[in-house]
Amino acid sequence: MQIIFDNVHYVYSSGTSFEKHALKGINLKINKGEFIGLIGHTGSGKSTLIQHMNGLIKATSGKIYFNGEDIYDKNFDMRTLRSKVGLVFQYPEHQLFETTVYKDVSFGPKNLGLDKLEVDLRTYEALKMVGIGDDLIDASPFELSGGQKRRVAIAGILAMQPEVLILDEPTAGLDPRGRDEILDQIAKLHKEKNITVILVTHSMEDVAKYVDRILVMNNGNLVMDEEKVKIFSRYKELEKMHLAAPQVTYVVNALKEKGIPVSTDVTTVDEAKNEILKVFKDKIQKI
Amino acid sequence: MDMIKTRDLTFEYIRRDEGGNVESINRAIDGVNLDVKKGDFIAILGANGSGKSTLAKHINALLYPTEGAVWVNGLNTAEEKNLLEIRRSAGMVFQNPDNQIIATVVEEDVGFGPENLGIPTEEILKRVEESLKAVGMFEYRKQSPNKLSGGQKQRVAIAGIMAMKPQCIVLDEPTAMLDPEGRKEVISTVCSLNKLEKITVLLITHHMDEVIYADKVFVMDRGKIVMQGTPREIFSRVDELKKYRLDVPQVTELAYELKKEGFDIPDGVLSIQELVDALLRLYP
Repeated sequence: MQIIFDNVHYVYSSGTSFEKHALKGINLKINKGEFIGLIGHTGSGKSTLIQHMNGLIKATSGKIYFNGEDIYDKNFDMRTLRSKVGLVFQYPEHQLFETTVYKDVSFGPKNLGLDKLEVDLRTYEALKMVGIGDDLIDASPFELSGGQKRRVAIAGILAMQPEVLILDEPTAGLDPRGRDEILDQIAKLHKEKNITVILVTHSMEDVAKYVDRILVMNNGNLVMDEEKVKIFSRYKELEKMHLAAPQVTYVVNALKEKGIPVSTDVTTVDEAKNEILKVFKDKIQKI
Repeated sequence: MDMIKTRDLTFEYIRRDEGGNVESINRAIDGVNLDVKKGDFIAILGANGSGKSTLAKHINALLYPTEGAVWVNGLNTAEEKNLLEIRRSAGMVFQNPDNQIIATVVEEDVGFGPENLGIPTEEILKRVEESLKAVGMFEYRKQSPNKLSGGQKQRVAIAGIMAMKPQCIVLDEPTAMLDPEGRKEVISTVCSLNKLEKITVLLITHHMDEVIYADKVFVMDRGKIVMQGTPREIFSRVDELKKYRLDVPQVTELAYELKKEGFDIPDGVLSIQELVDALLRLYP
């Protein structure tokens, strides 16, 4: 078990009129190498939850363990946690600040006190992982396109070689191809490096395409924690929480209601296509 | 008369060094001709950097053409005397609701625009009430905007524009930061303003499923308009859209894939219901 939340509560602005109970008794276990989707409406507590994972916010009560160690223990090294759990914020390109792509990405590893060679290696590898070519390495990050900037910002986190990568809405504002490029690269990274990935998103289609397990937050509670297919089969409950299932899940459910024997365990276009082909094949003469 | 008309609109971002010498020129819009009729609902699609936002900023004279011209409601945006009238008739809503709300109470925020136009108090109060009702936020009028959800904030921002009584609203990715419910709220608000209040709408978005309500869709690529047509026409050209870094809604893609497998399904399916109906007809 890589990350464990044990009855974690968090209260913002405690004792003032702005007091808000943002996390209400979260119990959660995350295993190494999982690809997890975290969904929930605006203000449901998603961002508060992920900021606990690398110790940016300290729980009001409850315990958090990283690789079996209590992160609130006085002997626990918070610096190590922060380098092992990489958090990519929304619009991370707003945090680019250096004069060249190389300097920006190498800023993190340099601060870890690594030698020049190791810093170089990590920087080049991270940029390669996000698909930024050598031709851009000396460019100013501010001259790049929106999608490129975002990838450089993500590379800055990857250069820290985190074991856990948390991304808060990494595709907001990107065009559909840019969205696919970033998520494909993250999926590849997850597969090749066995990095644990937690993807926070409002796009149910992205969640459906990439993750295995979904966490659903609602009003500070972790209300669902199951594999993808099971979560989306509860789409009526999701709608009550301002969420939804992917469009194709609605298609197969509507067909099923009309008596067509399709499986409703469908969340992507490919799955839907195969399921419909299977069921319609012997029913229609000429296909 | 057209609400918005552009002829050979070209815009270049020119970068200069400290000495004022031109360092680089980036042609963001390249000869765009656009005709938008009053009351139309237009959607603009395009990859990042294709020129959508630059185009939008020309419509309320935040930017002026390098070459060519833009007319809003018959007024040329390059003439300074038209500026106030143009900004009054074409309102803009941006991506981040938090950057657009300034007051501490919802109704004061909505009243800010008309107040600056020097409109009498009685009339402002009336407009604030009407605008908040039009976006379905009237019951929140006494609340603080920072307690609202993203979708609600965006609707307040739209009400703020409505209170200026514009003829046209330009929305630049208004749902990029919202959850699914917030997106639905904003898009249905925009649709009802278009249908009921006859406001001309120009919606810029990356969410393909928001485009299906538009009368006409324009696709931009590298500063040029490369496709135009009804949503159905545009979404039946799946491969071409993908070439421009775009996509189609999941249900449109599924219909397209099934059609390739020999299913007798119409082109450019836009809604879940349409696809379900088409499949039910095929199933004996």
